[in-house]
Amino acid sequence: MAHHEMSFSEKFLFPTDHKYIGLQYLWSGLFMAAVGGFMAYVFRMQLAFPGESVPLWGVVTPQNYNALITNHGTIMIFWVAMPLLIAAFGNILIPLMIGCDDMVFPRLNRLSYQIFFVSMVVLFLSYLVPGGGFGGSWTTYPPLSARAEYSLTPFGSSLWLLAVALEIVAFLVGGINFLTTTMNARAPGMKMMDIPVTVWMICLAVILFMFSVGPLVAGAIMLLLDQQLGTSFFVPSGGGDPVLFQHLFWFFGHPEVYVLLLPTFGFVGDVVTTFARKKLFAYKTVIYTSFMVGILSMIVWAHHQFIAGIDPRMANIFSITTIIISIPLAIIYMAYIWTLYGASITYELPMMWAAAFLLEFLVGGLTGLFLGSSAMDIYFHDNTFVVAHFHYTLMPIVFFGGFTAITHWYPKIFGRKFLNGVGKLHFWGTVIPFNLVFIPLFLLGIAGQHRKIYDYTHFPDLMNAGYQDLRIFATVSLIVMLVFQVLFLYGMVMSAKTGEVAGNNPWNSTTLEWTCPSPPPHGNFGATMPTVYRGPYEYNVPGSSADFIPQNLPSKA
Amino acid sequence: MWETLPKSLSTFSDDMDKLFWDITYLMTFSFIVSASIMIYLFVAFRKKEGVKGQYIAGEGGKQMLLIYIPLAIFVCFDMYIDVSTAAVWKKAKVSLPPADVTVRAIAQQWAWTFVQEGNIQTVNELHIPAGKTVHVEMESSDTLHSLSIPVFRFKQDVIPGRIITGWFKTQDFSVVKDAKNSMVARYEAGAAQGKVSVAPHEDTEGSAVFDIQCAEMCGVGHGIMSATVVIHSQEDYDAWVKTEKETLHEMQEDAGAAPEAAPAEAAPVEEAPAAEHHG
Repeated sequence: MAHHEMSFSEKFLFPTDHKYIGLQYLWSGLFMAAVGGFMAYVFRMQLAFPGESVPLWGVVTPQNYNALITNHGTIMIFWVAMPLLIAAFGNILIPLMIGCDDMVFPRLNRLSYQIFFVSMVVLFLSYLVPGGGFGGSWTTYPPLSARAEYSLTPFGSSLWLLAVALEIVAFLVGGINFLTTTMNARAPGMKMMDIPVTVWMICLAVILFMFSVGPLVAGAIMLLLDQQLGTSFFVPSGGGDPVLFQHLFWFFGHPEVYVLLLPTFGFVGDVVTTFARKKLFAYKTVIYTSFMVGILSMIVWAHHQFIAGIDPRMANIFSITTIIISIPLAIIYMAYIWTLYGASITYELPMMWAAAFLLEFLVGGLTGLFLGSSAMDIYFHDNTFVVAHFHYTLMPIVFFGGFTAITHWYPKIFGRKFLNGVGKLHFWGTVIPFNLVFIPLFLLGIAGQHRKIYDYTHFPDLMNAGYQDLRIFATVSLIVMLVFQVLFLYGMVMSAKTGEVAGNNPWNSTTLEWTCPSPPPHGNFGATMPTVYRGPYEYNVPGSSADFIPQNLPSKA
Repeated sequence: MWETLPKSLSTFSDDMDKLFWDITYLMTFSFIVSASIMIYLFVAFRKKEGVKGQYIAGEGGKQMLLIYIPLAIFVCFDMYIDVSTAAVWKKAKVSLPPADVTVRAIAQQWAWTFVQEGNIQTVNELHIPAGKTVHVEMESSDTLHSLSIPVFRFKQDVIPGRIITGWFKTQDFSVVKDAKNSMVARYEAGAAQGKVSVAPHEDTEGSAVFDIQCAEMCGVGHGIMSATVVIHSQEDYDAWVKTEKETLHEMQEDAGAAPEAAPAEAAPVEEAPAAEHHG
């Protein structure tokens, strides 16, 4: 198979090569993360110093505040987490890890990013139209979102909805590609149970996404009709039902959490085995249990609606399923922990991030038990305890997981290692302030502070002595954390020029992506495509003198 | 110095707080055990010269016990949480004790209107007697709202087109008043140190006032949709009702309007039945 040298436009403007499409998603995701982070800075400043002019923004009006929190959530989920964890690393890693030259539908892949790009443009446009950006929260509950006289954003809400719908289309197109490629284009000899966990988890995430997203798309279209044509699917005065939308939304919204979690479990699995020089503990159990997580995650959605007007007797069922889902997650978690037993761990950057993920996600997971309990949820519904909980899950998933993947595969993508000193400084400058942002939010939530409020001075019980100190403390910690992200960007750019040159396999890892050159050429593996002879994590195999045996090394007869 | 949960002033808030602390103990235990094991492994198995990683597949029955034994303990925790949750949930949300006082709560962007005792109507002030079972019949005239009273651990989304009934019963007035006094004391101590804070709601002798929140995004003014619950002693409540009725009567006589038994005017939801009158 001959692969020609690519022109500039084939590489960077309209690429069909999976690696360049992955890079487009990677840089887009990082750019949107900066936008989302800036939004967090603005609204946290408003909470710490209500009514005062925020540097780089100005006075935050209630409409500003609502639009900022809405778009912060939307951006971080749909335009950061999804492109970073699934699209960027799915694109870059799937063909490399399963040993093929590209995705099976390269031009469909290009289309996926193009739709994604349009969705970003539409999202930004939603801020510029009369009335401003949509401020009805990322859950976009009607009737607020369905009628301009309630939301006061006649165009912003529709453009926001359109942007989300386009983003979903982009991921459906990309997902089709991921699944087809993994099913059909694996290197000869690679059986299902020889696939690295990263690829498994991304594919499971895509399957879960496809199963759950249909109702949301239907709901979004009905909502769009309610907004623009005045239909009443979700508006009670015309016979509609607002709670129906909540079901449609959360039928997608909850599995979505696991859509994001699974890829990070994949990255962390690959990184932990590499740096622990260990086989993954109970690999098959991890895979089967991940299926269980996927299935269970589709019957827990109404725990978001315990007090939303559903029949209170239904709550017991969803409370039980929600708490049951902690069981398969605990199994996967323990498999990862026990992988460390008897290991020989080196703390390179990726391993530091993976370790931070495992420790911090534990807090997110365990605090979920409070919210799965319907009775506790009466108190914690729409409370900042929820905010702290899901940031303790999503920050480790998206950013710690994202940094794990970026630092681990950086040498493969750019041919050089991520600068070690810069990376370590950035690590501590992110992990420590992260805890200092969200522990105060737990405390304030327990004290009764509700969410999405732009000025707590209207609630004297939440302004008793000491509470405002916590808000200021959280805001200052956030600013420190954001400043350290500049260092990361510096590392991203400079490491590609001045980092330590990496060979094909800088981490002595076993999977196929480490057998091709760094960075891989168009076509990835050159003239001879790899053949697979064994499972993905053969480190320190008894009887072998080598520290590791790559998947593609022929067994001695 | 740090107070955790707010004052617990309804008959089910103590149950809910007990559940909170139960879960907190179980989860803290789980966290300490898991994190200790993890940190131990992180430290104990870092690379040492001449020591290679071990080859452990983790597939055999015996090795799987490492997963299943902790899992069994965790499942016990889960079951305990599920069972105690169901009991508290039943008390707070499924059961509905008969009402002593019924209040209609009408939410709209961005205020609460409360109608009770015939047609006494108040805006952003919910007046209730201490120690009595209160039914709140919640409705909305525009978007979703959520009636949240942290000191009662009460919260219910309010949905246009529906009337949802919730209930609470406060503890004795002396308990309520003591709780409020300690909040005021805390504020005054903080103010003396110059801490940024806002004075608690002002009470009268026979009442104690706490925050009501709207806990569901309801548009631009969501952040200022605050109200208060005024908990009266029984005598104080009776006196309040009497004064309100007299004022209402005078107003109606001035206007030459119908006698006071006329149904309440505020009925923004068309299919809403007339308010029930208790007395």
